[in-house]
Amino acid sequence: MNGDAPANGADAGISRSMSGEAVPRPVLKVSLGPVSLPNPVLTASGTFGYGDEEPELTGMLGLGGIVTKTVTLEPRAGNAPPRIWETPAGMLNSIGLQNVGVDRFLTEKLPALASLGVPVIVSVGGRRAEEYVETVRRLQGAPGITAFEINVSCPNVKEGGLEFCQVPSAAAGVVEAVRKVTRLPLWAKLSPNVTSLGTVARAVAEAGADGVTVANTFVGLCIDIRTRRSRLSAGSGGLSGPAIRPLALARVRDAVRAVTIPVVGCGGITTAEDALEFLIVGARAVQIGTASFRDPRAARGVVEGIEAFLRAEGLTSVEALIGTYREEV
Amino acid sequence: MTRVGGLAASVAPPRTVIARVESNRPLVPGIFEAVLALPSEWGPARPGQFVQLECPPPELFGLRRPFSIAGCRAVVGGVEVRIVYGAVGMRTHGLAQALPGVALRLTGPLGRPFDAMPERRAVLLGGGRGLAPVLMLAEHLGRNAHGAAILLHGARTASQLIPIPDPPCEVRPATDDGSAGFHGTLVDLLQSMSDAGELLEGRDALYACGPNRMLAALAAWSAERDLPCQVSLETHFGCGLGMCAGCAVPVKTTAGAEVSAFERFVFLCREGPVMDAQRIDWAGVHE
Ligand SMILES: Cc1cc2nc3c(=O)[nH]c(=O)nc-3n(C[C@H](O)[C@H](O)[C@H](O)COP(=O)(O)OP(=O)(O)OC[C@H]3O[C@@H](n4cnc5c(N)ncnc54)[C@H](O)[C@@H]3O)c2cc1C
Ligand SMILES: Cc1cc2nc3c(=O)[nH]c(=O)nc-3n(C[C@H](O)[C@H](O)[C@H](O)COP(=O)(O)O)c2cc1C
Ligand code: FES
Repeated sequence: MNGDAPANGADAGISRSMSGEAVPRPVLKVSLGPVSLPNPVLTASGTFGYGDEEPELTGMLGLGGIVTKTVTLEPRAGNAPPRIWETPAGMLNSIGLQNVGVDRFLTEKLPALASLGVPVIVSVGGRRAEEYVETVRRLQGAPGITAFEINVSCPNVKEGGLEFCQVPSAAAGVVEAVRKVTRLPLWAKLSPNVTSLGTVARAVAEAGADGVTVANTFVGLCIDIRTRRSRLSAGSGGLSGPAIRPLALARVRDAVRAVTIPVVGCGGITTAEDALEFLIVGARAVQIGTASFRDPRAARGVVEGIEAFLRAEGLTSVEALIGTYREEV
Repeated sequence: MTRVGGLAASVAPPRTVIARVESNRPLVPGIFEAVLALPSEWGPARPGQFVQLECPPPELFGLRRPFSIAGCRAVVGGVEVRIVYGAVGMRTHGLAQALPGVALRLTGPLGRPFDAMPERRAVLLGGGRGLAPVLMLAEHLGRNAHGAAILLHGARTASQLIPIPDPPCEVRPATDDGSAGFHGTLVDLLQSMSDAGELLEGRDALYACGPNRMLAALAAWSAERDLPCQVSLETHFGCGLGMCAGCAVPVKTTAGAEVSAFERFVFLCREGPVMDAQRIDWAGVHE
């Protein structure tokens, strides 16, 4: 499978080795159905703001894409602080989708994002299907949007969020409704907090999704033993970071088995080695979230590390690696 | 006249660099001072700004930690930055173990500095390890010839009062247990100064850093007085860079004003850490 890598160096780009001989650069470009990305490494929603926050702006250059903070129809205040609690090799968050709302996003955020020269995937959230539809309708046609990621998996909003996560028909209903108002590619971002992620993946694929992002955060809880209260004012939160990586990887494998549309892997990826595990299991792209908080250049480091690995393995393209998991059955 | 701290004045762009620990020693039990060597293109930093610092152990994944800058100066071949920190949890204990030569990734200077009002006398309040940024402000004010500052310096007990070897202005210590200086909190000390006519509304301005509890008390005390009050606040940071929305602090909304729900919280790493005490909705601020 995936044997469509260009065979000669012309397409792959040429660089010079130290001894002066031409070495083909591995092709990092990936296609996910209708979406073509310069490389398979994106930032995860809610972990890079709207792309304009990271002050040095160095983190995003050379990335495969930026997934924006989830945008909703109306501006949202989010949850009361504290919203963050660090856990072993991870963190709990209960941001609650604080965001400027779609109208301000269109005027204040999108133009700058679109000018970065990196594909922009706009994450869209809502409490009801109609809110997703109206948000996408307003975004639809604005220049600079490569695809939408439909967030049917936020654990931190009381209304709707959990139902969309866990009831396959509810998630599919949102995708189906949004599908009617846009021709842009749609990825559905799924929750790992389900018994069978494959079932939800199949439902959204049948409803017209062009890809699935696997996955959002795992519901978690930490308690202050002295006050007997949660460490987060909202009660439980979403667990992210290296702590969830093996869990997320297994969910990605489930999704790859369940659907034929592209799967985007997400959860705890910090290094190129981590990302390669997801690609080998069959993800066609990966997203980096929490790792960017520790090092805003983490995602770029992953791109460089993937390229170095491909060279070391003598592979001409990342496509040649995707889905090469040798599973014992 | 230009403002010294300068909300309006430009701040240096933040850079991510490798900081090398030059020295790291306790100032009082549990409170340490680290001197970090940075490359020369870094900074300059203004009083009230902070850095995001990677803390040992590096092999365990962890978020970076925010620390206020206690001092920043150009030295031969680079820039020297000081931080003063309490060893309170895993990362700050890890930092306390860092030996000279250890390399740590650092981003900064970040955030809004104190915005000193030159037309008013500066009354600075530093509670516990919160002394560091206000001491830097005191030094800054001295250098800029707005020297009429007074520094109120509080701690639980005498042994916790961080020594100030070469004070840039008058210093008045206070301890909760009365073991050194004024007996009471810094707000009690302010009240007594006010009673004695040593603190003048319309003439003085307050700049403070310390535990959130102390800052909340100070905000309440100064609310009905003509004493502008800037505080350097703390909350849990995910990134320190405006990317995660984790550092929300609730702010008051003007009655009747049309504000979007988004404006109910500000991101402290961007709009702070120094904020106008009266802008904060203290009821929603956690310890
Ligand atoms: C703008 C700013 C400036 C600061 N300046 C200083 C300073 O100059 N000196 C100093 O000693 N401390 C300062 N702090 C607080 C310092 O960042 C915390 O004490 C430190 O993060 C605790 O880390 P830890 O792993 O040792 O503790 P942990 O074991 O993680 O927790 C101990 C306590 O620290 C707090 N905390 C935990 N995680 C974070 C986090 N990510 N960000 C902030 N607080 C957290 C919690 O309240 C917790 O109860 C500042 C905080 C902010 C927001
Ligand atoms: C602070 C924070 C905010 C997040 N906000 C969103 C969001 O708005 N929309 C969304 O779909 N996912 C959001 N996520 C989930 C991430 O996009 C990602 O799915 C998750 O963190 C797992 O990846 P990671 O372990 O690499 O962080 C957020 C995660 C964090 C830590
Ligand atoms: S700490 Fe991440 S936005 Fe402020």
